[in-house]
Amino acid sequence: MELLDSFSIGLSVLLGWKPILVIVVGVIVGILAGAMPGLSPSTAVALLVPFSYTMEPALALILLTSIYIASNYGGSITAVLINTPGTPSAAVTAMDGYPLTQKGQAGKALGTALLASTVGGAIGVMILILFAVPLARVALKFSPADYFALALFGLATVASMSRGNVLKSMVAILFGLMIKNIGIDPISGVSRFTFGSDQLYDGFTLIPALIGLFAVSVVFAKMESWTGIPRVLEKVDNKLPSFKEMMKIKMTILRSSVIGTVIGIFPGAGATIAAFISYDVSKRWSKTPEEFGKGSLEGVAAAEGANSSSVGGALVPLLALGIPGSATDAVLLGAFMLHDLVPGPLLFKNNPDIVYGIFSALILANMIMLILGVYGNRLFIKVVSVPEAIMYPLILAIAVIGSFAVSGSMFDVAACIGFGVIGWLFKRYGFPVAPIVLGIVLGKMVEENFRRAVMMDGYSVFYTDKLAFVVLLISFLSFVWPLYKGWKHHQSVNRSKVKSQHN
Amino acid sequence: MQYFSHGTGLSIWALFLAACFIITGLVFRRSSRHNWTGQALLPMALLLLGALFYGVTFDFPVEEAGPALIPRLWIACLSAMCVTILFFIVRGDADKDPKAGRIGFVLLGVGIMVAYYFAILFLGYFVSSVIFLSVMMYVLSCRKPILIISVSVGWLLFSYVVFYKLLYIQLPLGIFENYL
Repeated sequence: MELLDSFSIGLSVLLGWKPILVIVVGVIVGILAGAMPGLSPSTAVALLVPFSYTMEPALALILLTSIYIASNYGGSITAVLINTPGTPSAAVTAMDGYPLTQKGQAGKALGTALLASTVGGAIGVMILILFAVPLARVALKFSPADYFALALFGLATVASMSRGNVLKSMVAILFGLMIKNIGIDPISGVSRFTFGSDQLYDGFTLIPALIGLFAVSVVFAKMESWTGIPRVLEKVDNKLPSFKEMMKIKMTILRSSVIGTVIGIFPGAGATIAAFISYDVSKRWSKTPEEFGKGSLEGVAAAEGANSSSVGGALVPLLALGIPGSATDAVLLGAFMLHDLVPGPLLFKNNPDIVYGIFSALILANMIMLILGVYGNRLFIKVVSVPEAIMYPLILAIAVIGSFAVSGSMFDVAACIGFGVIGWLFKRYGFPVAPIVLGIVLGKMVEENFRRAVMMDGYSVFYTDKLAFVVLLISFLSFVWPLYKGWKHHQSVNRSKVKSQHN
Repeated sequence: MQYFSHGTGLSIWALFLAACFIITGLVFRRSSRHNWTGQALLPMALLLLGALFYGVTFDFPVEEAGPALIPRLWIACLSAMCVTILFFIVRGDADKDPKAGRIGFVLLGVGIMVAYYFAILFLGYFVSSVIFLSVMMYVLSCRKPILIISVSVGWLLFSYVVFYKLLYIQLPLGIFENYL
C-alpha cells in the first residue's frame, strides 16, 4: 500500500508536458550519444549535468536517467551498422549485429536490439524497484563502519572487475581518492593540499573533473589516432523482427534481462560484463548455438537485453546506499549533489517524489525509446554521420560551458582541461579512467565514515561490527583474488615458455 | 620532516621530486627498458606526487583519526601499487608503451584548448568560441569555409539563446561586457 502511495507521488511528477518533453529529449540525446563511437553513456550524462542545474531537481534527474537508459540502445546502432560499438557493451551486439548487416538484415538486427533493450530496460527498472526499496529500509540502520565497509567494497569490486590490469585500476582509484583529499577536511576543518590557493579550499569541483576525464580526454585520444577518414553508414529500414522471430527470442530476452539486472547490481560489473555473460549463457541454452557469431538474432537480443537491464541493477546501490556501481552512476551521484540531494536511504524518506519520479520516468522512457527507435532510426543514423571534425570541436565547446556553469568559475574550466590531459595519459598507458571518478566520488564517504567510526568506537569496530567485518573481508578477497589469479596465470605462461624453449 | 611540509622546505622537496622524475625518464630512455618509458613515468609521477603530499601531511594537527590519517593511508597504498608496477616494468613483465600516434597533433589540440581558455578571459566565451571552433575544425581537416563559418556562427547563436538567455548561465563576456 505504501509502495502504491509512493508511486502515485512519483507519477504526479510526470504530469504535464514538461516531464514528457524532458524524457523525449533525454531519450533522443541518449540514443545519439550512445551511437557515436567514443562517446560513452557517462560522457553524455557528464556533458549534460551542468545544463540541468537550473531545472527542478526531479526533472533534471529524469533527464539524466533517460539519457543513461537510452544510450545503451544507441550504442547498438553503430555496432550493427559499421561494426564499431558506440558504447563498450555494444561490442557484444556487434558480434552478431554486424554479420546480419552483411547479410542485408540491418533493419532486423536493429529492431531486435530495440525490442530487447526496451524489454530489458523495463525489467531492470522493475527489479530496481523490488530491490532498492527494501534495501533502503535496511540501510537506515547502517552504522558509519558499515558505510565505510560498503564504500570500500564498491571500490574493491570496481578494481577487481575492471578489464585489464587490476593494479592499474587500483592505482586509478587511489589517485581519485587522493585528489578528493584536496581542500578543507570535512571533520576538522583543516585545509589540506591547497598550497595556498583559495580556489582549492573546496577541492576540485566534481563535474568539471568528470567532463575532463570522460569527454575532453576522449577528444584528445581521438586526435592521437586521427585519420580524417569519414564514417560511412548503411541505409536501414525500420523492420522489427516478425512475430515468429519474436517468439523464438522471447526467452532469451527475459533471461538476459534478469542476468543483466543482477550483474548490474554489483559495483564495477556494469553493462559490458553483463552483456558478455548473458551472451555466453544464451549460447549455451540456444537450440542453434552454431549461429552465434554469424548473425544470430538471439545473440543480438542476449547482448542488448542484458546491457539495457543492467542500468536498473546499477541504480540499486546508487539510490538505496549512495554507492555508485559504475562510471555513469558516479556522474549521476554528482548530479544529485549539484541539486543538494544525497542518494541513500534518507532520499526515499525525504524525497519520495524524486525517487519514485525517476522510477516512473524510467518505465516511460523505455516506451518512448521503442517508439522513437521504430520511427527515428533513419534520422539518428543521419545525425551520427556528422563528421568528427565538426563533432569533436563542439564537444570541447560544450565541455567548457559545462565546466563553467557549475560555479561560474574559470578555474573549473582550467581544471577540466587539466583532467582531460590526465585522462588521455591514463588511457594511453592502460590505466582506466572510470575508477578515478569512483575514487573522487566515494572518497568523502569513505573518509568521513571511517573517521567517525574510529572516533565513536575505536579501531576495534571493524571486527566487532559483524556486517562491517564480513563486507571488509569480502572486499579484501575480491581485491586479492584477481591478483592471485593473475599471478597463477603468469606462472603458467612462464612455465609453458620454458617448456617450449627446452623443446 | 616538518621542514618539508611548507614554505622553502616544501619548494626544495618539490624540486627534488621533479629532479627524480626527470632522472627516471632519462635512465629509462637510455636503458634496455626504453620501450617502457611512458609506462614507468606515469606510476613514477604518481609516486612522487604521493611523496609531495606525504611531506605536506606533517603540517596537519596530530590527533587520533585526524586529518593526516586517510591521506597517508591512500599515499601508502598508492606507493605500494606504483612500486609493484615499476618492479614488473624493470623485470620486463609489463605491457610496452603503445605505438606513438600523432602526439604532436594532440599537443596542438591541448595548446589550442589552453589558448581558448585565455581567449575567453579576454574576448569572452562567444567570440572566442567562434574562433576556437573555426581553428579546431580546420586543424581536424575540415576544408569547407562555408561549413566552418555556419557551424561556428550557428554555435554562437545557439549557445547565446540556450545557455545565456534560457538557462541564465552568465558566461564570461571579456571586453564585450558592456555591449551585451
